[in-house]
Amino acid sequence: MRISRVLVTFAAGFLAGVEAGSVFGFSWWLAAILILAGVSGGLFELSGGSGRGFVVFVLAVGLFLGFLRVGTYHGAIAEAEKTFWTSARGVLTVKVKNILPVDEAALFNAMVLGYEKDVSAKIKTDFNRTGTRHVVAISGMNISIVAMLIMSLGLSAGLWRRQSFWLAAAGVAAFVLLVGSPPSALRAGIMGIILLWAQNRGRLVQAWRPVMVAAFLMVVFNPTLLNGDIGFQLSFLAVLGIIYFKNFWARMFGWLPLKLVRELITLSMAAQTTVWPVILYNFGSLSVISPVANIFVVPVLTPIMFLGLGFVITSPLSFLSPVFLWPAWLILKITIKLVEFFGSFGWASADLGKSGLMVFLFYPALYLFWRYLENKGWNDALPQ
Amino acid sequence: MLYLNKKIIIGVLLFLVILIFWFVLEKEKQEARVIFLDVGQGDSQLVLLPGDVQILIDAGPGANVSAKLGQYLPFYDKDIELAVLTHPHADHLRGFISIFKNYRVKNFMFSGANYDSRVYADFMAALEAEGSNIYLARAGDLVSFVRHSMSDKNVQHPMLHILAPAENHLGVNFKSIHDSMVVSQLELADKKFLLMGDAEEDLENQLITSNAIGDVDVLKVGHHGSKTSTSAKLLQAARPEEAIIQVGNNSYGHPYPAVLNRMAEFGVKIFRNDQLGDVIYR
Repeated sequence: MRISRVLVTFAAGFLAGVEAGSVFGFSWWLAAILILAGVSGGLFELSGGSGRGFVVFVLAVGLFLGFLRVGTYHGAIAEAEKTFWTSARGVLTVKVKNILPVDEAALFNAMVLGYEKDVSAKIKTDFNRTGTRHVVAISGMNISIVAMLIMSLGLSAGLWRRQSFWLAAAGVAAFVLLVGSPPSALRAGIMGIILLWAQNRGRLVQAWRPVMVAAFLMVVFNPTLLNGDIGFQLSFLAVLGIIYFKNFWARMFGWLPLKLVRELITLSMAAQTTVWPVILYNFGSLSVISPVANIFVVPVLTPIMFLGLGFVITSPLSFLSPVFLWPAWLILKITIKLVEFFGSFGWASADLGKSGLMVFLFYPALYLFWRYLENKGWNDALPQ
Repeated sequence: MLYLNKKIIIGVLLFLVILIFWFVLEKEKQEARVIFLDVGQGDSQLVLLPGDVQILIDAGPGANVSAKLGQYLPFYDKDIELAVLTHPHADHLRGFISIFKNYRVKNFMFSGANYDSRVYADFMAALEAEGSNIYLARAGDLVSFVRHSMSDKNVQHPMLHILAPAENHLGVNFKSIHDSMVVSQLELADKKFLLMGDAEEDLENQLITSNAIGDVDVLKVGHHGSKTSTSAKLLQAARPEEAIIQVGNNSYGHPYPAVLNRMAEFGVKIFRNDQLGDVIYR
């Protein structure tokens, strides 16, 4: 059996174990039953000559260890955004604040450096109402844009595709380190690299394995993430949505003009497909205007991340900072006005009340729907 | 994505043109303005002068003053040339802590009186860290604005006259901190503004007897229109045409109806921040 499959199986088991442990609580009795069931199940299958025995065994071991991990973890429930290199980000955020006006500086720090504290409540509400809040945080999308920028830089400098990919990966790692590697940026970095890798490998659907392994590694370090961190849940769900439903939505919106608009709507709808029940459960409202608002807001990320990257790289030379920050100011000002405009409609966001019902009803239905689409061949990529 | 085709180059150029135009516009359209900022229940006045010069008198009760300044200052300017604190009550003071975080305050003026409060202690620490030049306000002090002129020598315009305190208040304790008030008169845009801070009747009388108060155009009503300020005597001496009441939602009963009536008797037109938002003179 291939080692990657063992790893993925183990990761799946571990995540299931952590989930079970966080939902039902930990008990040594249950742990003992789990390990016994795993071992005996594996032995039973093996003795029958079935090749699946080993898989069952690995799954059970993962389950047991995940269960054990969450049962013996004593970290804080909601770990603050600790950074292991706080000073780097601190210096950069202060620098931005010294050059840009208050609102735009706060937004820049949130988008590029992952420092959200200064963003005013009003602006946050507007972004929430328009379903564009994901751009305010440092997310997989921001980072994958950084990665793509570095990669195209590498390509135009004459590197091979593979070499530029590694250059981009190294660049992302450096970027994450430079902004102080808070957990959110770390997660975004991993997600960004996975998305980039998957896009270069062709079939997007295969990317679920690295996504699972990434989730596994993060949960190993902090098992409370899986059940307690909304940001973690949303970013993984969004990536899974993009992996599994991007092609479907691309078919649905194939008639739209302009490749950029098509791409943005497709991405936004694919991410929304998997994310909305969890948003409803946690926040009780859904943004109706989100697909339209995203068309206007998401393209802003590319120049902002480009200017942000330039700012971060040239930050030791202070006199160069305004060259990157002032153009960013104009873009951010326009963004704030746009989001204010979209958020000003009364119907921009529908208040439905918090409900977890949809989580239980929708995801199984979504799975069946995906199977149906798969049979119809609607999940295949459109011919280019 | 970074393959520089014509469309991208044109887009970037267009964007840069807009940015440069904006910059030039911000530089060129500058004019002297006095803005009474709507910061809720508290005081804050912003004076804008051509040449990227700003004076901030009091900063209101909270961090929203920083965003307010962001609206009025040019995007490239993060310097405040002079900040004045009239007295250390939180509704005039607390905003400065956020101002220090978001702006560089070059010069700072206050009375220096002692006042025992947590906010004031935090503020003093922040002021020290900011490294501004510090001036102690004394009656007779003059802040003038030097205008660079191509034809003549640089022209000096005296514009902010400090009327109170009369003595040095550094380290002095006060029974009522309102007696340590920095009161000033601003001359700008062909108008005279009398900025009373939170001055109460005692201080008003002192100023009147020492002949410090002359005819003005606009009165910044003392203590948010409280009944202990803005006596008939003061209105007689200052004869304002218009009055600004810096007031927000509050449980103190500001502004006091009797004060409003008194001003109406003198034919003073009243502008209130809680009804109008920011009040701007240009």
